[in-house]
Amino acid sequence: MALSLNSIRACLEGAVPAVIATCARDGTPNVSYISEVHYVDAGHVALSYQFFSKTRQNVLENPRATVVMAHPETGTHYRLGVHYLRTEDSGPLFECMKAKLAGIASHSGMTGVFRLRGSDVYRVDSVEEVPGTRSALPPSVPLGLQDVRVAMERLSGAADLAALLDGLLDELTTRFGVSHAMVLMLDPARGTLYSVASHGYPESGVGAELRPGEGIIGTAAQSRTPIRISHATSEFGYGRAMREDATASRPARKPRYRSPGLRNRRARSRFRYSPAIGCSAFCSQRARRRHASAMTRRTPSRHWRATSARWRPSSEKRRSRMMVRRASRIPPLRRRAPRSACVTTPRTTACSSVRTT
Amino acid sequence: MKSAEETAPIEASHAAFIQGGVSVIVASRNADLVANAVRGCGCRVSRDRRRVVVLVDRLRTEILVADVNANGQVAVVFSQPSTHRTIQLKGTDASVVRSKPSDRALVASHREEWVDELCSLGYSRLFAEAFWGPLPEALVAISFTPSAAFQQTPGPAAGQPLAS
Repeated sequence: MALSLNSIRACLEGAVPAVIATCARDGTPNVSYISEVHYVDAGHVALSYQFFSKTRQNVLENPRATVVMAHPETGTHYRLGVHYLRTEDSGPLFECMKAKLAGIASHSGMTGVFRLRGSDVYRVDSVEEVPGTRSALPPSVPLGLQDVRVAMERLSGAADLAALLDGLLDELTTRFGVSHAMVLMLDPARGTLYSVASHGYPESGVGAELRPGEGIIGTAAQSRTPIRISHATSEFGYGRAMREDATASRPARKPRYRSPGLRNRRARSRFRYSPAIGCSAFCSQRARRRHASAMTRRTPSRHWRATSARWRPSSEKRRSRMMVRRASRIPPLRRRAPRSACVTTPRTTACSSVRTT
Repeated sequence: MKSAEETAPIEASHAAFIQGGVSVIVASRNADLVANAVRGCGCRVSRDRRRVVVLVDRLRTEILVADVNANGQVAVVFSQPSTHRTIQLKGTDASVVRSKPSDRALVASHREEWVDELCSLGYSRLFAEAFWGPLPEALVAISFTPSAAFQQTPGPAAGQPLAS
């Protein structure tokens, strides 16, 4: 059976760095690591253009190249024959890749230092397995639309925000195997994101604040783009390598955001294969609208101001009390929410999760 | 007069680095200037550091061997997963040579070190071993003289010639 890009979609999650082999016009080959091959559609991929590298110089001269990547679960290697087409410096693809790079940069204290100059788009001409690399490890069964549909039905039925948040975290954990998650909402009056619920961390972090643009979560919220850091350790190491390389000319900034439950940056990076620090949240349209309306009417309560100044202790009981107090500021729904549900861009909410397998 | 080691294209620390448990990617290109790359399974450097031999599982090398035999062009990148420290060597006189009996032990040692390195990053040993692959039944040795060496650690300095 002929392989397609979609059939090796898991390889394009960035869990394992890929390599690209190019050739200059004079016949000199070059091989370089790429942190992620970005999936564009069934026939195209994109690579980030940050620096004018030898790889880029080569593909501008000679557009044919080969990408070698590995399956993140089985370890089987695949080879893509690609052809450079164009560089995009605006639009959804560029914004998505830019947000991810900004997230990685902020994660390693390099906000503003590394910027995406463009998204290099390649046509995929061939996909083949590298002989001698087939592994006996089985790939996991992918989640289907059915799981999403069932989860959304449950969330659509949530009568209030507390039930919605509980349902969301429960679905993420039980149905999607996301062991660490948090939900944040925007406080428009103060211009901050605040955590309203979390799951899986030693400390709940409920009440924690960060500004849009800070860290991975803040960057995702500000750019309203989902960001997936596919292997936290790898991405952190990549950022650290970039920082060490750049500190000769400019001192690194210290990261200003905090992650609840993870005591330091090293701890935050010590995850196993983790295909998600994601940033989309879903909730019922009705509850989202109600909450947005409530937040624009009200300034945060004194209790909220007092408790948001520091990380909250981890007990589930305290988290529940907090959520109930917070939810009490929002008018309860008088009738059952409509069954239709939506996936929001993170304008009012952002959810960070780390999935371990 | 400088000794052979002093005028070698790569310095001793680089030689030690590329012979450790680092990722080895070997690339060449065909007559149509299409490059191809495969993952290698070890490396050794001659005593005077003038010759580098990379080892590759024979099962993976059908295209690579044909290209190397045809034009002698090779680019090899060495990268340490935990630090992303990366260097690239290039050669224009690459050829396929007979592997030594001791190469099998070298490859086994490389596999062990590399798997340990990946495990230290949080990958499971099962995955790391599957990713590296089983120990090759037959090896191909590609020998070349480094004609250029570049630093490729991610960042603005990537692509700069390696100081020797």
